[in-house]
Amino acid sequence: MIRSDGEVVVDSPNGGIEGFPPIAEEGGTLRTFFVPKLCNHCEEAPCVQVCPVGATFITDDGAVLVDEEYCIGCGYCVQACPYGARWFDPEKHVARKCTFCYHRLAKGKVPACVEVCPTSARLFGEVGHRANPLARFLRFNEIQVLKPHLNTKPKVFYANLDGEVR
Amino acid sequence: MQGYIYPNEFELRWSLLIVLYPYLTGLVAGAFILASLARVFNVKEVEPTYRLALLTALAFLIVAPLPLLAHLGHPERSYEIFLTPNRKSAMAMFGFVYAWYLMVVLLLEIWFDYRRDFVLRAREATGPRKWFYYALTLGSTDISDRALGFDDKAGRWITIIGIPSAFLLHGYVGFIFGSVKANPWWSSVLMPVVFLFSAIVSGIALVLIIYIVATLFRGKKVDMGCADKLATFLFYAMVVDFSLEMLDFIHRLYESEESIEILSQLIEGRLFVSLIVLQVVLGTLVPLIWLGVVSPALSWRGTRKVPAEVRRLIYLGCALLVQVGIFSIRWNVVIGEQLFSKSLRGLTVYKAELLGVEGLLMAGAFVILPFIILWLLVKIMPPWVENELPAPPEA
Ligand code: SF4
Ligand code: SF4
Repeated sequence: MIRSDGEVVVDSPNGGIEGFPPIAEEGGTLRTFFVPKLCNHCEEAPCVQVCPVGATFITDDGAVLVDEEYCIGCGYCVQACPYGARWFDPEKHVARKCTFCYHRLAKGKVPACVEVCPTSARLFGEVGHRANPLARFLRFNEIQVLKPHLNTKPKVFYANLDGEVR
Repeated sequence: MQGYIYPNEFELRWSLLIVLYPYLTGLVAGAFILASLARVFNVKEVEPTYRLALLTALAFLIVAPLPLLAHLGHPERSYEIFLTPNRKSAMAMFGFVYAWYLMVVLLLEIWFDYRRDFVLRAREATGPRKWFYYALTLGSTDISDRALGFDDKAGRWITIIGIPSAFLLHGYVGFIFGSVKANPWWSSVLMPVVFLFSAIVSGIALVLIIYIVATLFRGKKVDMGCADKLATFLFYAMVVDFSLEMLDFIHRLYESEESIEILSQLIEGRLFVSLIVLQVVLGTLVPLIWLGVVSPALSWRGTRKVPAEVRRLIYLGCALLVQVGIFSIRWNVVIGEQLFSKSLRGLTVYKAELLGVEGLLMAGAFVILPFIILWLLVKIMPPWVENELPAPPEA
């Protein structure tokens, strides 16, 4: 939310599991919006670069995954991801992240978040393909990525992203 | 907590143990560089600490990777770093830098330096001790002048290789942090350089502490020529180190990038005690002033004449403060980095635990352990000048 005086307020109480209660209004609201963030499956992924044993890798089809059998749990990748997309599994003691539902992709399905989104706000497809819905969407919308100055080349694109989003 | 942080930033992934790791490694590099001063640049005054500095470096080097290991989620898989390293990873390559330094530089240099002692002790001793020292000689028991001359030359060459290696060792640790572009608090080309000079500072201070304390405990007289020289070096190293840090600081302030707001909040709030009070004032400015006044760094006899006993105490106090300061540097780098969100919109807090693998007790153990190892090393290989073994009678 951006207040009328330009101050930005960001919140996701309890990870958003219990919904989003209205923020107490002080001095009026300029704009409000909602930005879901996930692993960007960066083409030049810092997390892949820093992993000392190569447990984090990019699949041939472009997803960035962690091999849980291989990860030594050093946490370097958690530090290196500019998007805060990685977390540490307190039980398995390895790094975890969004996999684009790789188990579903392998069966030819789309990621669960794409499938269940009631307004079809999410589109999934092969990047670089010329004639899929994703390609059409990318062509006809103004597209941004997060933190472009870090040159991570994200594969998650946002349309009409607010300038305040980092 | 304050502002917005990502859910995964609530808990700090790198904790106290990771603070220890650059701290200990820095002591190694610093102690070694001090030792090289005596050897390569023939600084006669600091010779009494030459062997002590080498043994200190060894003791701390043995312990340095342990906190890292203890911190891993799966320490049992750590050998994979050597078997299947990712060549692009700064951390993976550190394993090799470390191994090179331990095996090729430090152990070899100590061995060449002590070989004559080992041989003489093996000759004198009886029973298992004899065998122990004999084993340490690795079977080469020739101590003719020619052989010793070779030892000396070899040791010299190793030191010459060792200096860049020590630079590499700690510069590399700085690189592990400085190369993380995701984090504006770390990402800086100056990081390795700052790490290096702070390492030299901490190493000299450590050897100074150990030297003074150990000498007093042994009931011997502190060689003030040596202590003065160490204090002088400490002063110079601190001046360089502090200027570099200020340079980094001014540079950031002037560039004033997107992250400046959250970083200044960080410094004014969460890091105020550890950065301003401990690191800058107590850890740097206070010892700098004291050393400047009493040590011969600025003028030949010291700016103020102070009796030796008092000077000794001041040196000791300064060196201890410097350790506090350097530890704070490492703390501010490692913990400070994780206190603000990568969304640059909020700050979190760090709560150290007392028990457990990442706790204070464990960290304390890792700090004490090198001193125990050092004590053992000193027992086996006395580094003191008066223990120099006399040349054996010609047979
Ligand atoms: S968003 Fe983070 S975790 Fe995902 S690929 Fe990029 S750097 Fe790696
Ligand atoms: S935590 Fe695991 S995946 Fe991440 S860098 Fe370390 S070994 Fe690689």
